[in-house]
Amino acid sequence: MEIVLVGAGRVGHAIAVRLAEEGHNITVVDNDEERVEYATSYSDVMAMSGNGSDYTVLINAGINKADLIIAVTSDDAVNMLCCLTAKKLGVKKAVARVRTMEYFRQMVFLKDELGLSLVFNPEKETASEISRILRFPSAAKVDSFAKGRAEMVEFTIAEGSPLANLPLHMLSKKLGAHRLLICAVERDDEVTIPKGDYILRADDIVHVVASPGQISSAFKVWGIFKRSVKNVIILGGSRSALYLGTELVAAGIRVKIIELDESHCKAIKEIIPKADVIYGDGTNPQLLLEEGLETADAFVTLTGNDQDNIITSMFANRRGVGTVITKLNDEQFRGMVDLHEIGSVVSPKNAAAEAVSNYVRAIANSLAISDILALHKFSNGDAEALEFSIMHSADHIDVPLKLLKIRQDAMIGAIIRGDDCIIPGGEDKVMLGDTVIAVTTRSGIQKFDDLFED
Amino acid sequence: MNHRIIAQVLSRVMFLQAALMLPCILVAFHYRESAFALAISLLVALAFGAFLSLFKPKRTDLYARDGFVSVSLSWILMSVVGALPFVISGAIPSFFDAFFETVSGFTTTGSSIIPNVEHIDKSLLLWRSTTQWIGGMGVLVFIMAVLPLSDHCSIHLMRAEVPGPVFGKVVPKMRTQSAISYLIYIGLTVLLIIMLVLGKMPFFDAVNHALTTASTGGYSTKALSVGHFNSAYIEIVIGVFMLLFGANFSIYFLMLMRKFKAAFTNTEVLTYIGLAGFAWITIAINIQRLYGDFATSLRHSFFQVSSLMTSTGFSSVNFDVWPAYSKWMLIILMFIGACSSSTGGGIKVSRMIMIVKGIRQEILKMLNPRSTVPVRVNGYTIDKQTVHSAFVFFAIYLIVTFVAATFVTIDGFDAETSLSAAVACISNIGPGLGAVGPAVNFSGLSDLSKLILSFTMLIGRLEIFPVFILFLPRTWRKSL
Repeated sequence: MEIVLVGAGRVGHAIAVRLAEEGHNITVVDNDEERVEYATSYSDVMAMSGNGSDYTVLINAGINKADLIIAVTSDDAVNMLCCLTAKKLGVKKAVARVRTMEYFRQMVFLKDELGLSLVFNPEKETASEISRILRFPSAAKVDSFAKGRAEMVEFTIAEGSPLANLPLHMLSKKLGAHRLLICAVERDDEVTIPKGDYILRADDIVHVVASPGQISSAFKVWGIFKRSVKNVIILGGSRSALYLGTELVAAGIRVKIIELDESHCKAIKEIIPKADVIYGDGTNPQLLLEEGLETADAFVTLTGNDQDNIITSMFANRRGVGTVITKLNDEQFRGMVDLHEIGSVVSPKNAAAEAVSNYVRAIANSLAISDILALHKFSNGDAEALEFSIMHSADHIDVPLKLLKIRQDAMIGAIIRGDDCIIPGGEDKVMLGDTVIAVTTRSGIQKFDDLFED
Repeated sequence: MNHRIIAQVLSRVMFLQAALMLPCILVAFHYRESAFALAISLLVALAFGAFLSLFKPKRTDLYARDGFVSVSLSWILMSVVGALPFVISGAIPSFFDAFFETVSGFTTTGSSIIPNVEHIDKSLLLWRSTTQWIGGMGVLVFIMAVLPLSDHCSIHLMRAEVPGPVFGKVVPKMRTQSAISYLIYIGLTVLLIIMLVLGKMPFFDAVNHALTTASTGGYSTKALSVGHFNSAYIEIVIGVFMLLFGANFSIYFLMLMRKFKAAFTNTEVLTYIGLAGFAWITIAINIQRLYGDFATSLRHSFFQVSSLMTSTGFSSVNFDVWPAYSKWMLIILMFIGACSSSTGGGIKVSRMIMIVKGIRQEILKMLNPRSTVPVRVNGYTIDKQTVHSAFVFFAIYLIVTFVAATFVTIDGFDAETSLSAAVACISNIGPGLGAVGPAVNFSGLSDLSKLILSFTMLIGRLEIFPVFILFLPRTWRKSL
């Protein structure tokens, strides 16, 4: 597809890289020469400098022939104006990043009256990602597929867990009805799609796909169930903290937000009256302990400063907080810390890029360019989980899976039919209208048929 | 540095070279010549390619430094292997001579050490022309279009190979851009072959001249170059096509995208045409005494101006006997050269525009230090860094030229010969003046001068920095 991307900041760049890798033609517009230069050097896109809401700049970027405009500058109003101008100039679909809460609440108006196809909010995406993790406290990362009917959960096998030193083919015998397919295992920075003779070890990072209910019951049997989160401390009163706080309070979880700025504390209290808002420096260990860090079920760091987030998360982890979630704005620190020490990592930039690329895939899917509806990359991008929607008849449907030769580096993790999530065995088959979730270490798969050897 | 990915680039270059030798072997069979030398060279290229492809890359990242190193190494390796057919067949027994001839081919210089090309096998002549054709648009540009490596970092290869002060994309995908460039290039080349055949040029000569005109290379199959045919039609056709290939290829992109207004108002192309027109008319007036009637002077002046400004180096007459003004004007044109993103050489018109406007900016700043005077080209303000780079480029260009000329003077040649030989090599023209003029060739130079000039040609074609980086010890150090 022809895509014009306005704004080449952190989020813009992450989106450009992903979409270019998926083969779309992207023209990046930004008013900062340096960012334009950076964009062309590190991704296969065309870049031009200029103001993205300027009529002539958009024309030069080829807006009248483009399928999609994505506006992700730092200014919400500019983003909306870009989309509005582009719409008038003939672009087919428009996507804008809108972060301000007031604007975002008018989502329906924005979509209907301004003709925006998707309004996304990285902070809100981040908040939802965190709340998914909090619902599965024993998981390090939860990705959702097929509108929440299936989830992919990542967890680490603890020392002494019943899963440790267990060959995979014994798994279903030992655990009976609560069987789940282990789709991918990360060991020593390498990902494998495990086969039946694979033996799990302690410290392996394991990915499973199933419906939320199946996962919870299996986790109980596997003995890796942590008690559910009842109270959460959030460090920093950023936008994502507000969205997260609102969501958690609504779910009946006690929330304590620690914020450095006194007037901002009052604003937070206005927005989430049920939350405890503490005015103080959350990087002070004494203050954290006084506010009950050691009795909290979960600790989430959402300040704007990555270093503060990392250090306080490490402290919380050492003080034995069950679930620690760290927000990192920049990728640069990810490689510098031991991820075990800072718990789960969320990144608004990646959450946003994921939301936008899923939307682009949905369009490509409707145009029958690809079968993929959603794609989540994991373990540093070495593996991906793909959601296929089987809308067209294909060679490999209506055939029992045991008769098919699936690629060595791929695995079908779940088949979703109606509201049921089927954990596939040899007898199961994929049918028209199903949604299939597959895991692969191979990149560039576009069609369901690409999963098979022949 | 990612050595393995560099090995992959080199391996692809070798496979491409083997593929390019294949048509020449077929021509050898057609004319019942020995294909032995070409066949051996093809096998050598294949063997190198296969060997280098054994180093599977562990990472696919390719940074600016790796890009520069892979491009210059590719060009050197290609020239070494490309010289083999000449050495093995005995057409050019000395390796230094053959290396000079091949570098001169790939860099589209067209300086030759062969005393009489009409005595050389036709298959080897075609190989000579093929080296120019692929060197004109770029070897790695071709590889990008056919066998791309990793998508997102290929821009560093293009930056190092495509001439001009800034490398701009006109379509989002690198691969599409390379493919379109080559399609335009192939299309214009085929058109030229047809036009030449229509002008009664024999088919084999038409193909060779088209290949070397397209690349603005200037290798001819005749000792007297284009003058051999003594046809006004052929001279005009080749003259016009040389100018077309020396123009910025982005205007052809713009025409393909139906943006005619932007294509025809491109400052660089307008300046280029203006300069060529000025030189054409003044030289024609200057040489009128030699040829009697003004029409003949116009014809010769047009062909020579077009040939030297676009860095092709064909000759229709011996311009070494022209008066001083004409010769001096031609040397200036050789320095300036063609447009950026074309197949031509030289400093490039766009850099000259930036330099002239940069000088104007300095002077205006002297008069009024607080005024804001941007350097604007094509309606856009040029980044300060880019203007600065143009000045630096200009300075290094002159220094390299003078250093290379110094080596030639050691062989005992006069200043005119030495300087014009150096300019002809760095700007990838071909013939110079005096003892290296259009009627003679470079065979009288010593091996040292030939080697120095070979690198001068590479420095000119790859625009200085990629070649210099190779000789920087820091590039090769493993630790900091």
